[in-house]
Amino acid sequence: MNISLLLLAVLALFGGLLQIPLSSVFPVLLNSQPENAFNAVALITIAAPFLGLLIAVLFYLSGTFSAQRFASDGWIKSIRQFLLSGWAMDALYNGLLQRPFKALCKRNKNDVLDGLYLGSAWLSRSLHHLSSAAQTGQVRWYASSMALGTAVIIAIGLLS
Amino acid sequence: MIMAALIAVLILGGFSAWFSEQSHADAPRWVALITLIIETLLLVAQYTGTEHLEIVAAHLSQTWLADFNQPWIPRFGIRFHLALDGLSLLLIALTILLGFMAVSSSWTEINNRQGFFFFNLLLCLAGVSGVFLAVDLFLLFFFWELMILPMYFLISIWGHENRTYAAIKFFIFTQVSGLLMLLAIVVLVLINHHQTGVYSFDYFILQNTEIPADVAFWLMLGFFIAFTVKLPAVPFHTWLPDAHTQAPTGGSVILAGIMLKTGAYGLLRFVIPLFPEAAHQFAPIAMTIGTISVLYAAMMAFAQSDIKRLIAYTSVSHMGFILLGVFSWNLLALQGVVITLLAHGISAAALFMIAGALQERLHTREMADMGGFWAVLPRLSALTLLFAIASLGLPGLGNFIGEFLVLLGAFKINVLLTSVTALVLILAPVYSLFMVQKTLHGRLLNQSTLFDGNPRELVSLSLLVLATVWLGLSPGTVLDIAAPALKQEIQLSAAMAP
Repeated sequence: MNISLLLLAVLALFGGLLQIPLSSVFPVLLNSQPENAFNAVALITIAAPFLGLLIAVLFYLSGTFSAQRFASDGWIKSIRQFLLSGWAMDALYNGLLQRPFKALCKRNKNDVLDGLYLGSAWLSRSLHHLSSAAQTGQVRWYASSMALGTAVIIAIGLLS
Repeated sequence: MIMAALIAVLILGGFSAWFSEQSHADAPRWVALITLIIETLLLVAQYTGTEHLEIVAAHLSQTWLADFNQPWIPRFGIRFHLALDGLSLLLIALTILLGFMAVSSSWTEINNRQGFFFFNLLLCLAGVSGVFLAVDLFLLFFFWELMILPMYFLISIWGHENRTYAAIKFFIFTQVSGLLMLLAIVVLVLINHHQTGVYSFDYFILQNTEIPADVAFWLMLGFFIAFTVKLPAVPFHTWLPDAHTQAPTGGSVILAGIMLKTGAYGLLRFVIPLFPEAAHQFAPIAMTIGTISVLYAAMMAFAQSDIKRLIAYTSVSHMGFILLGVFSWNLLALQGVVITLLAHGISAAALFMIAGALQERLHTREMADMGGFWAVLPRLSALTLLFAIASLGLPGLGNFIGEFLVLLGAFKINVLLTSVTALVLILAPVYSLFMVQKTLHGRLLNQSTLFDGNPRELVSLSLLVLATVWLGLSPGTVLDIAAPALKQEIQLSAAMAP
């Protein structure tokens, strides 16, 4: 156990010095950065661990700041909660995708497109009721509608 | 000759099943089974026999495996013309396989008027086989009607609580769309008559008709609507969930497994080859309809609480891929379409059989009344899980190959639509696993009536498991059978390709 951990520790410290033969796989990537580039990114990368070391010293070695008080601060607490929830990704997906999708599904369970056809069925049923209401069995209505129809047809014939 | 026998045996078998009821109440189902066994032998004979033939008929290219051409109504140039190529061969094979499944799932479910039930079932299969074989447009329309009527009876007589509504809805949708097709056929024949002076309904002759572009567009639309209602695609899909929920299990198996495939076959065989220019113009719209169908139906599937309704919507979603693939019109996409047709036929039929088996035990289709089946129905539950993940497109099973090829082929044609369609890869697991979660997991509600799959159910479903695994692991055989026919179609309709 100890030996393997020791080995990993040594590798972590000096593994970067090993040459991994990847130049054939990533030839472009390796050559895209000019050698010995001393830019902002490199600076931050190097500075970050030292900054962490400094903060640790201030908190735990010299006791300049109190870790207890820092952790109990309300503002810090909410940041901690945010980070604990994984940057609130679940809540974001829940609000952005899951809830709208489920609401849409629930509202449209009966398929709004079916309304198109149910509507046309309703229309023909109404027309059926309308025309069957006209069938009263009273000859005077039939005779007068026939006479009226004839008059309309004659009128169309004359006017056109 | 064997092709005509394929249809005649089903029709004769149907009548014998009907009359055999008089000798014994259970005789019809045995007659139906024997009929299907004869069909299988005929198809095998047809397939093995044609390999020795070099050229089937003088006027046909080599991609056609068989040809049967007899005069029927000479006065109008209507002929009884059947032809078989790799595509129709595969679909006929699917028809026979699912015919067995339909008979198997009706074995104990149907107690009332068995003779007439199996008569309708076999006649429906005859109509579907006819559609897959007919190359005379009048004959096509005849078989199109032949498959609708028996299905109407299957739903309206042996259906569930709301059967009349569902049956009439199914009939009106398919009938109106069929009339549009008839109108388009008649106009096409008249245009051809005007040019050549002879009446002919023959597919190979009408393919060469010169049609004015604007007329061609409307004729293409007539055929397109007829086949997309059957497929079905949004917004013509609303008959399907109703028909499926109300149909007896055997009816659902035929409806989802093979009858929807006639729509896809029609698009592939008739819409594009007859009107390549118009179809090319229309392709972006058709592909958009396909994408909308895929996503909308997937969402609707998730919204359902009735298990058969859920499966019905997944069918609509999968058929959207067909529309996307067919109108991409390249070999990759069309290969994908063929595999999707077969794979969806198998997985949807299996899911409907399982839903039917559950309904036979529980007398409900509501998923709210289900749950915890793993504990009491281990075998049926395992099969449910397998077909659910087949339907969501798990690699290694048939549906994955089909959908992947369709997306691959369509990507070359329309990157945006293909990318949007690919979102269903998220929605399909959502509805499939939702169904699995609701039925198999959770608390067991009513235990007393439940018993695991009986040998008949298990053997039938195992056959479908083998078929879908075989399709997923070695699709090569199927692709090789379909490839010559598809290449021929693409070559003949060069105007469709961009």
